[in-house]
Amino acid sequence: MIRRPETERQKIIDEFLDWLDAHRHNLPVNASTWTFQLVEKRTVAEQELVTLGKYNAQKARSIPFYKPYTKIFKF
Amino acid sequence: MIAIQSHSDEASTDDVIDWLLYLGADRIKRLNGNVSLNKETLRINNDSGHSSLFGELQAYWYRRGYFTLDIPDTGNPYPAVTTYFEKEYEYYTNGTAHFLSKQHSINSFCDNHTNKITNLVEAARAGLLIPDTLITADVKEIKAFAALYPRIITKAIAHNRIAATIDSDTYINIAVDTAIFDRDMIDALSAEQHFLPAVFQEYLEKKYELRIFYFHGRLYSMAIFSQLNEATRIDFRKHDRETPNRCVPYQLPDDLENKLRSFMQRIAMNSGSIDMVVTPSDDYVFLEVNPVGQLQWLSGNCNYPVEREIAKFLLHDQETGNRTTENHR
Amino acid sequence: MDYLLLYSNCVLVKGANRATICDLQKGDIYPVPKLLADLFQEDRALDLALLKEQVQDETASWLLQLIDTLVASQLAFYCNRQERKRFPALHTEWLFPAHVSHCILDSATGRLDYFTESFIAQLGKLCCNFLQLRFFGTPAITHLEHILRLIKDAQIKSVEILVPWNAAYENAHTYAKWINEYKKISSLICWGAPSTHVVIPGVEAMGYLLYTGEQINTATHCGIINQGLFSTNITTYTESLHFNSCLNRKISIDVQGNIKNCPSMTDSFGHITDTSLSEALNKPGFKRYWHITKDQIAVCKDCEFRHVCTDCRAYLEDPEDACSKPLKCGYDPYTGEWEEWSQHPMKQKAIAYYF
Ligand code: SF4
Ligand code: SF4
Repeated sequence: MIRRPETERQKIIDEFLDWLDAHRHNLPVNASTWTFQLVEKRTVAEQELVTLGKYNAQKARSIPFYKPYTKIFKF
Repeated sequence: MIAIQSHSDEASTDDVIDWLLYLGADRIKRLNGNVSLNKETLRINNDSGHSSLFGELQAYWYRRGYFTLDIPDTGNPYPAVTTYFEKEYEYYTNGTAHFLSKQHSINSFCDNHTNKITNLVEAARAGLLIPDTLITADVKEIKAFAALYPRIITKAIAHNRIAATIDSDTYINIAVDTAIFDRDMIDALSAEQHFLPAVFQEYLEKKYELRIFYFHGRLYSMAIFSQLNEATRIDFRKHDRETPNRCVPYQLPDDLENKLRSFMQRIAMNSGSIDMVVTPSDDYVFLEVNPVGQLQWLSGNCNYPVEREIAKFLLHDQETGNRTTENHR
Repeated sequence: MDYLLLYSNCVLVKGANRATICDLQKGDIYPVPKLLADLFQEDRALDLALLKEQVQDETASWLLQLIDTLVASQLAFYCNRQERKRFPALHTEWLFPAHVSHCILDSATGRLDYFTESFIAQLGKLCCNFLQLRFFGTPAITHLEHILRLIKDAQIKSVEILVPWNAAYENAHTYAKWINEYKKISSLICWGAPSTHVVIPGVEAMGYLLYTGEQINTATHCGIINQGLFSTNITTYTESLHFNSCLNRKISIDVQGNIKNCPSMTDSFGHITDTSLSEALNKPGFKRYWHITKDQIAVCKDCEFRHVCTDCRAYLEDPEDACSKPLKCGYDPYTGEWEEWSQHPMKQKAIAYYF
């Protein structure tokens, strides 16, 4: 999905902060330490995930071998 | 059948399966994420118990995920009926989790309901030091508490994330992390206002933090030198990628290990990750326990055979004995 | 404070001329003068009071400066006597659950016809999840994509692929397409390219596309030892303490289809058309190099890089001696100098023997 323009993101956050300020006394007394982040979900398409057959796993990223397999090229 | 309930992208589950396969396990069933019980059957009697989920159950490991019961949307004009279904079947899903926890098992979905406040009470009863803790909305109390210590912190009672939905694919992620509750924040509170309660604790100076993985009586401890990086001073989970905290094996004193074992028995949790702090005066202070903490971080940095021992437990292969300290002493 | 203690995943490795501290958590290697290295008890704790007693004058202040650097680099910390026993040495067992940890398949023609589902199942039985495919001839696009599709749904965790660089493939963006589509590729290395550079920098060592100008047209190019190929992590370190750091748990199939420990070796344990991987593995002699550790190898046993340098047993300085130093290493741990190995007068006999 396409991200919202920055102004629109800021507007959403501002509205949220206004709400927070207006209701501060109805919130937990430590609400001043809360931190926020606007998240626009990007659902990873199934085919983007790495499948590990036998493990019944679908991973965002698989893992490399821990050492050089052989030593045939150098960088 | 060795049954594992997890998430499809959970690396420690893969690691344990590697060991299971290496040690010759042939029947492993891994369920991921949301597991529906609609089509399953649970049979319980005096002789045995059986869930169709896993067939003949050899061992069970709860790592992530949950059971659900999907209630069809019938356009029911009587919401109370739907509410009844939800409540009714929650007892079924929890009951199934309980049934599994009574098998040869590690953790249970029910462990997610563990309570930080209860655990502090039980830790103190087990002889562990705990931080001075205040749970209140009373501003006068907070001010008096803050006057006792150079600094105080605040954290969530149980849930440290709120997803405030904006629309179907947008939300504001609110993080209630461990944070310093500073002078300005305290001064900004007026005693006339009516807040909701929150947790406050004395801020502990730390030489290092400890992450201890407990597993059926065994303890694997790691020291985290979080003081080295300013960014992680309050909550080491927020560590920056560039300079990861130094993490090394740690040997707890025997009496402390025994107190931790007795604490885990009190709260009836057979496996969990315990967070502690070692203060500059060498006091060991208990902070909290999480039922399904990160494993790779601990085993990878300390070269502990945690995943192998989990696999062996699931295979009923207990020859390494119940104390693992011998492995790395 | 009583001691300077190395963090237990920062290990001190003493060589003939100097030592290294290998930071196994972060993957860095720090050279350390022998004088300082020798002051550590059990290779990890330096008694500060003793240091002040034993060493004086300029040496002392020089050492204290070095010690400060170790602390500033987060390799060591100060602790007292009681604390020292709370920080045990790293558990040295090699924890890697696999009968075969990695498999090398060589092809001269660009084809690997035995690479089928049942071949992957054979790897699965051996708990082998890591593959390297070395093509000395260009594989047809359809053939390589067929292999990648088989890998896609299998238990294989990642695959490294070496192919000859080909202008037509490059023009059709084939290499980048493979990287984008087949997420199990850790690196795709195109040899014989017009220049040497990183084309796509992967993320966390997955999804790299690299071009190299080198000609890598036979397995005889293998066996290079240099600092860029060092592997500084706990798994390599603990493996090197107990096993051969190149050949342990390795299985290979050479360009003729012979099943071997390493493609460059002469001993074959059967042909892939009539022998299964486990049959070959269980034949006597297959694992004969698996237990040769760096501590048994001439010269290497005195080298401060011996636990990060992965060995080579196929090309040796003295082909008659199974414990001789790797031929293609130009490092001299007695002087601390690197030289071009192929120019070295002592190596000419061995070079004539192998090539
Ligand atoms: S033994 Fe030498 S030739 Fe064989 S794979 Fe290892 S480095 Fe390459
Ligand atoms: S001398 Fe041996 S251990 Fe040292 S760099 Fe050369 S091959 Fe590696």
